[in-house]
Amino acid sequence: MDRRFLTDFELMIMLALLRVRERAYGVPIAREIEETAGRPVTLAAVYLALDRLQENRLVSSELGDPTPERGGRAKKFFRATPAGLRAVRNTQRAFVALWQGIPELRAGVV
Amino acid sequence: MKKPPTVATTILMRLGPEDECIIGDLLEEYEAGRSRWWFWHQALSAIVSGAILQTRARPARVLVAVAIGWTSLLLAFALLGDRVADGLAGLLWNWDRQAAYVSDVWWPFAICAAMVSYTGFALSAWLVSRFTRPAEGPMLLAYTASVVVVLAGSAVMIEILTWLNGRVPVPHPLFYIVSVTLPYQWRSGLVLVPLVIILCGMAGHRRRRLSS
Repeated sequence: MDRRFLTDFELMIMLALLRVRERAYGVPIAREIEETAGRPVTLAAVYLALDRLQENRLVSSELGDPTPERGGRAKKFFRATPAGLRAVRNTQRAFVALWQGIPELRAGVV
Repeated sequence: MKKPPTVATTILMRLGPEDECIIGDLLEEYEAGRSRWWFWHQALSAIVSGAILQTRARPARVLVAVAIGWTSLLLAFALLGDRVADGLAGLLWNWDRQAAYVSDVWWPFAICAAMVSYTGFALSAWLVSRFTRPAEGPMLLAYTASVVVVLAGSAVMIEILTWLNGRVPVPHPLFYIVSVTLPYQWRSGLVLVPLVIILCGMAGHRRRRLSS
């Protein structure tokens, strides 16, 4: 069984990437984290995390076509691999398990 | 196309990551209405993260860059060093070392020694950039970081020795580089040296265009 876990930021990146789906590159991933999770991020931090995830084969990438509004530079589209999906589920299970049994964190307490 | 801040773009193009996707992302977001401050902040972050990525991906190349930089720097100091500084001070101000031992007038030598030192830093930076393509930006930053660490460490030692001896230890054999460059102005040197290395290193970089 794959026991690979993600850091909190890696988990955010993976979830944002999965929410954006097909056209997931730096800009929409960063936006998704900022708008949905409310956490400000730099594109550099997003790419650093994506690079680490790719190194661990949790995401794969492919280059798109260059566009004029990007100064003729291509987009790099990212996709979660099966191992990446497993890592997200493992991390979720770990977080949920840790969450249980903490009365202070029950809904309505804080 | 909305024109992003010129200086930030120049620095990003020269020192930024080899992978240009992030540069494209920054341009796209700026075009979509982000502020100049946002662009600066993101560009500097991209430069730092590019250096981290390169260091992680190619540690051997970082070692080569640092070795090229320090070898050329030490060679420049060994070949030029005191001799050129002496000659230059004599040429410019009729300064003479033997006479200086009596008169205790060392400022012409100090100025010329600093000039020679900065030439060494500039030359080493240019060589690092020329020989570490295509990742010269991150490699130059790695070399700059190594120089700053050594200079800062040496400056601290000089301060301690000065405090212990009651005077600036010039020339100090253990810190020859620093003893030429920094004793008279080490505080400014800690700013000027990395600045000179980065600016002169950038002169040896490939020209990348904003619109490719």
